[in-house]
Amino acid sequence: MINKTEISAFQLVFLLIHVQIGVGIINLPYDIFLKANSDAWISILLSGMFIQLIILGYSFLIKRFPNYTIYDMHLTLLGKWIGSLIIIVYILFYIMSGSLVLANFVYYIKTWLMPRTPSWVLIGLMGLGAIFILKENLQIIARFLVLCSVFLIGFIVAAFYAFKFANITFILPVGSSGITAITKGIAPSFLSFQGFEMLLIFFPFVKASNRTIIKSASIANLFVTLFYTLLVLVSLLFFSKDELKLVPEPVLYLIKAFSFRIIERPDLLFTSMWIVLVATSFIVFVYGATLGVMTLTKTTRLNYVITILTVICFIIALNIKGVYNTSNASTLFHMYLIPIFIFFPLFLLVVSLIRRKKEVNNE
Amino acid sequence: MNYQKLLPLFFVMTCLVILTACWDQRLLRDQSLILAIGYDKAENNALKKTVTFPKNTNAGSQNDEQNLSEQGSNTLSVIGNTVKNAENKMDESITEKFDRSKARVIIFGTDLAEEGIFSTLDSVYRDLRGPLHANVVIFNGEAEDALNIKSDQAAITSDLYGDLLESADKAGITKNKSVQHACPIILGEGKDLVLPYLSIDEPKDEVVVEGVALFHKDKMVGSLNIYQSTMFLLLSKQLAKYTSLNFEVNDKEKDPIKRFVDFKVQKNKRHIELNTDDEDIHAKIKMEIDIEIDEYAANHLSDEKKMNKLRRKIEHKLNELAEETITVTQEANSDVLGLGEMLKAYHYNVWEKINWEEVYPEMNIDVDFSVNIIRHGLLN
Repeated sequence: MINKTEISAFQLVFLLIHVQIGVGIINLPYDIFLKANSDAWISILLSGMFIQLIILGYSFLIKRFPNYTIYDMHLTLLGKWIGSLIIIVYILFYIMSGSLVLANFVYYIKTWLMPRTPSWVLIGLMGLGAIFILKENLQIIARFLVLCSVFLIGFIVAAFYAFKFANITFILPVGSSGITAITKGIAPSFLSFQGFEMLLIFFPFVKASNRTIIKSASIANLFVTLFYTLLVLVSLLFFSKDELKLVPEPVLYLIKAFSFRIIERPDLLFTSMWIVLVATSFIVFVYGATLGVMTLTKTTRLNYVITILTVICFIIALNIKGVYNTSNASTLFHMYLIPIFIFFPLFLLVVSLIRRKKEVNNE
Repeated sequence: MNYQKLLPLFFVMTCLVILTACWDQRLLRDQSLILAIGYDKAENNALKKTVTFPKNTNAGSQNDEQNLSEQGSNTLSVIGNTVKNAENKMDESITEKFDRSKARVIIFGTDLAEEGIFSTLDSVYRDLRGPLHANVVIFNGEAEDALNIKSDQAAITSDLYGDLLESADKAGITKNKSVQHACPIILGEGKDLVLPYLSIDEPKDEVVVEGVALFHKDKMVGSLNIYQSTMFLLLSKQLAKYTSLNFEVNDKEKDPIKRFVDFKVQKNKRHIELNTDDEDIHAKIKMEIDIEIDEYAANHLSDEKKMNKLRRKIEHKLNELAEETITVTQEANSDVLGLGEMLKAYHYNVWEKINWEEVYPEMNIDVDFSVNIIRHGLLN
């Protein structure tokens, strides 16, 4: 256990929401649509339910080790060597997550907003902002995230406004793409939920009972699932099938298609809101990696760790260029997801059951 | 909070101020705003692009009022392989850079429209500053001529088209479609696009609305005249603010004005029944409209019998016009009402078995209007 700062269950909800909702929301409908066709929204709902089951599974670990982060659990249960090795995998995973967020961020900003601004400026600004917030403790980060939730409302309002132009026949008849297509759509939608597993990193810092923690995580999951379903549904209803195949960022394109008397290009406004959502998930990813490094090295110099990690992300992100490169990097990264989501926690639970090990209560 | 903690904030703020739009600034003085664009087919499969932009009356001069009176527009035509190619060639011949992001109308000549409009529009969809809200219009003839017209109605050619389209839209003659709205219809299955169709009235040298151009996929295949296009709008439930129709109902009347009735449509309800039970698919469209009589010189509307007679006559005329309209769209094989889309959504197993492009021109579509006269102005 590193920091004694505590956050409330309310803040945990927003922490989890913001780490999940990030860079991917603007192209999420497209990715799922490619697999699940016009039933993409069902895939999202199904994966939401699936994630909920995993969260319930996590509750067994949380019950056994109420004051340990997942890093501490690895060290205690698996011994110094294997535990450290797995923690390194986790750290690499979060560094990669952060870098991909930055790389995608720059890619979209360059296509949508500022084609001529060099990448290092954009990534650099994002990195500096992140360092600035990360230097504070978890409590302040959590407060910041709660504030940032205003921007989610913007997207929800835009989505409901888009229903004005919806064409219901685009998704009818429900289920026409078949069960196999819907199941295939679960894989890309699963990715978009990445970040919920950080519950296992943050729960010891929450000042609430285990039940409340699981409840908060479920609320966050419910919100994220519904939010994604809304975005996917609106994109499906707005674009016809063949058009959606051509539009890789349907959410922004949809907003670009609106025009109001005062705001002629609302997509610029929404891109700015989206930048904040990108920043929040980047911040939490780096924080997750930082906690790992601190558990591993037992250092207390938070500022150094944060700066180094951000710079690493900066360098990796600069080297992922272009749309094809980014998607290659993502595929590599996706192979980590299942172990991190399910395999490692499950393994820990089994080991702790076999070795009958529980947290030593020294308080 | 001490000074040290504020330092990074200060740094970020400074960066924000210094770096804002350093690379991506576009100054108005370097750009020439294109407000209307025309595309035509040129020889050897090339594309002719015509643009009109406000005359540069030396911006920033002191006398604004004088500027206003001298306003007008320049037109420029360039031939290129593709849209962007033509645009680059344009930049060579003019001192400023063209900026089409504020274009109000995009005009296609019929020759090009008959070959397909989607590939020409590709660069608009792809461009982050593409004029997605510009209205797409088909011009009977060459778009170049359309943009070269000199009209007294508006100082700038693009305004002329913009305003004309807007008023036609409000009057329920045509329906404006922006580049963005056209896309899902062009690419979707089971519904075809309809765009406003303009031409030049030769003797008066004025632009007039001819009706709507019918499309199949992205190719123009026919057109509806003004009456048919109003009927089409009624049938497709796109009721405009002031949709009005005029029919000859008393052909025995001596006074020619008394032969006609003119009414506004206040409300329309539509119910479509797709019958797929037997082998051939047929559609039944039931329309229920509320109308307000605007002009009926024959009078005597207080008498319920006479009123019902008039009502039945109007219903009859409406049915006739609707039939005519639908026949035209079927001959052109342009499913403008989106019946295919409905079939797909509600009878998916039937849709999978048939080839809609072959079924639509052959199928039976019955229209049945029932009219409700709700008001007749101040007179009986």
